[in-house]
Amino acid sequence: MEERGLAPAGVAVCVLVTVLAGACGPRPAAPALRTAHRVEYRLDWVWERATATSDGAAWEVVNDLGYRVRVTRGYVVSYSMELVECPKERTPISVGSLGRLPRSIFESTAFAGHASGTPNPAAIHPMQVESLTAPRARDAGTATLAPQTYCQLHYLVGRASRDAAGLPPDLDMVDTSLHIDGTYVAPGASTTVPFVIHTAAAYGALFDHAAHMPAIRVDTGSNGARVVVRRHLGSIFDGVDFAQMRPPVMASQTLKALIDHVDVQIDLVSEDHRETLHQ
Amino acid sequence: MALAVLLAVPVSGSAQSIGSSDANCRNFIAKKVRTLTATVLLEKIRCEDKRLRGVIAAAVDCNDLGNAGFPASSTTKIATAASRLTSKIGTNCASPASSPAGNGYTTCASPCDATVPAISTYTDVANCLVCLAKEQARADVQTAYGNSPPVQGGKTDAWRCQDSRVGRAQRTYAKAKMKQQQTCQYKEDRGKIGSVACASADLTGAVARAAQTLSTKINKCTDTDLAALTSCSTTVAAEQTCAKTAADALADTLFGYVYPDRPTPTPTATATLTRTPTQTPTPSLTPTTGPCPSSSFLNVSSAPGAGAGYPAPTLSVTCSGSTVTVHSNGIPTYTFVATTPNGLAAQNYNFTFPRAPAVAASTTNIPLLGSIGVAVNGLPLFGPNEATTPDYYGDAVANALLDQCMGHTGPGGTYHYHALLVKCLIASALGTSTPWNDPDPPSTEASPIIAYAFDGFPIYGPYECTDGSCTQVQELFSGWDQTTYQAGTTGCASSSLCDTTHVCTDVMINGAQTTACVPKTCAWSNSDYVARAGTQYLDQCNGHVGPNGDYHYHATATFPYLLGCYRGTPTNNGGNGTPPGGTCS
Repeated sequence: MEERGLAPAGVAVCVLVTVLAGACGPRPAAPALRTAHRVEYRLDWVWERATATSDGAAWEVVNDLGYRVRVTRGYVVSYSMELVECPKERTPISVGSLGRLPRSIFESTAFAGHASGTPNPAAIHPMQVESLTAPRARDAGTATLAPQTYCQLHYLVGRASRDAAGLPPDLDMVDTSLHIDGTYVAPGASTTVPFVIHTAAAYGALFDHAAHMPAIRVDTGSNGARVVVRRHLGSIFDGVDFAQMRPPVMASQTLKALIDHVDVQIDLVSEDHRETLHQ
Repeated sequence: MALAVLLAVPVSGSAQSIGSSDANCRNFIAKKVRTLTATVLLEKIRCEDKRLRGVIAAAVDCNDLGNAGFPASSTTKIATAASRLTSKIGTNCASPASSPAGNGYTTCASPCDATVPAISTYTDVANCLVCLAKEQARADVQTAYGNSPPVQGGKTDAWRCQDSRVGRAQRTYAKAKMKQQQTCQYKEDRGKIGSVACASADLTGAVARAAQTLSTKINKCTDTDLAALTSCSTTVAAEQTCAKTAADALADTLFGYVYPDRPTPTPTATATLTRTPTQTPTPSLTPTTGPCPSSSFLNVSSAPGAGAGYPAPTLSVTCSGSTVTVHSNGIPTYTFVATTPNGLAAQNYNFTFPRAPAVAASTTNIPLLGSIGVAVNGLPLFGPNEATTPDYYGDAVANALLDQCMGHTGPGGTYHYHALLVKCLIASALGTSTPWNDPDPPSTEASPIIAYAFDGFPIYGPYECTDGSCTQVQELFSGWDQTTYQAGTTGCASSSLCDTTHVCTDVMINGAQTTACVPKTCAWSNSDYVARAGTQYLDQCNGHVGPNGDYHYHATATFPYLLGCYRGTPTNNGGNGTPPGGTCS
């Protein structure tokens, strides 16, 4: 996890410089055989405007509607992450790597069962239950991929199963995707009101391009990649009108805010993770 | 987007009064068709009776009027009943104002169009209707008796069940319903009553009484009796349903033939300076027992759509003489949430289904993969199972990652549903980008039509009136029982109670809705259909004949969620894969 209070934009710039330096440096001659590369997935949090309480057991934020919110217990389930293959008709853009990626759309070639019946080799299902009161960066998994180009990243929050990693001892998170206990103080009010957000709903997004770069392009025949999905605690309650919304609506809006404020960062990594595909 | 209706055709047996000569003509035709149908049914039943008892040869096909062994006396009686229509129709429809076309008779429906290729006179109308009545009676007897029911060799219990408790009782019910339909339509034609859907009307309660009698009669059969026969079911409860369904189909289909759409009168010019152009419907003896269902579909042009960067949703519905076509770009009316790694993409859907659905002699499996119908927002419906991943044809609702309107995208960006929520498919859903946050409609209200299956039958939400007057509303339940749940997990609150190969979900067990830990694998292998008495239980296709006498499906909270099979004859709109038929292989 990044240092508390460090602006995510600054983080992105730092990483972007690193990535571009690697991408623009001297490159070895193309190998005769294209090789498989590893993709590492990582989950991270940014505090942004959220601040920890003095005892470190909770944190507070004022959301965009003026509610002062304190989170005393919370868990979210990162269900899956996967790079998604470029659509066949798309003209590749020779961009080696890129920084922060806003959510966007376009038709993809993907793997979700149905007619294909083929699982995406780039998919990982960490089914990781993450604490919201002790948020920390963590490795989510690794996939070694045959040469292939990927143009999107899919990140999904979904309900935990019985064998999910990180199931907490103090709360049954099975069949739950998000649970938050806390309190809020409405704008202009002084009364502290407890709230509970609890849902099994799935919520995800496809990320495919950055504002300053036209597209993701990860060629696993040329490079490995490190994919970081970074969530923002400070924005997680944006749009949540605690005093007016029914609990399921609050839960739905919290999931939406969580996903809407995700940053995806992809760093290309070079030869050290390479494995020869054709022995 | 525009919700276009290219051809708006009035309801069959339309609302306003018509001239007395037309009313009398139609009433005569209806009476004689009813008499003929009852005669055909009776003579076939008599033939079957003799065959089952061994009085006539087992080789006789009693459902084939042209069979050499069909009793000659029966053939004569049927010919006499037919002649009462053909010989007297000229007299009863003699008014110059009562032309065949003026009453909607212009073409003869298949397969009788081969016998009567064109209609220009009332004799043509009569010949066509004689053929159609025989054809419908054939389909009905096929359901009641099956193919070559085994000879009983005497008056056995099975014979008694087949003859008097199924065959004759079903005929009596069909006669009663046709009589009510005819009486209702005659009153409406003469302006004695207001606008009534006479195909499903029961003005005096006679249809309900006849249905009860049919049910009571069949209840005297046993499952053993039925197992020894080749009727439409081998259990009493299911037989009650399928026998009535077949009789309803007979009556309703013939109603459509006897009372085709009449052309809309051309308005006379008055002081109005602008007139709506007169639409010219295509009158036909092809059944059009319901109106063009365009009004059941949503006007999605006002909807928020899937979000920034996506095309606006489009939907239009057109009706030809016998076909409904739904044109849609497959974009949801609400915010798209990517719960699969497939992006959302606009499609060019042209779904078709029959405008006048009819109960088929046998059910048809829905495809294992692909579309089975279309929701009223223009988005396709799939069956209850996913593909081979992430779990082997697992239950999409229990296992998969659907959005909060029970849909998600597949390869090619095709958004589709595996189950349906009413609140996502009603007009109020068009005013919000997050209809899943709306409260569910109250359970005291009957659910609207929220989709159409590709056999043309509508799919309603889970609640329905218990009678024609809607004195009470009840929830409809799937007849598919979960059979492979993990022992000791009924009533589970979460999958914490399940082992890792099972998941806690809503199920039916012994006819009661509960929860249990069910396997993540093949949904079709984990449930069996069990026919149960009670109007709250649906048939194996997840449908039933409702209080108004029309067959339709319901969305349910448990497997199969939408359809268990097709009750009618589906159009082919892209479903594929091995039909389930209770298995995934």
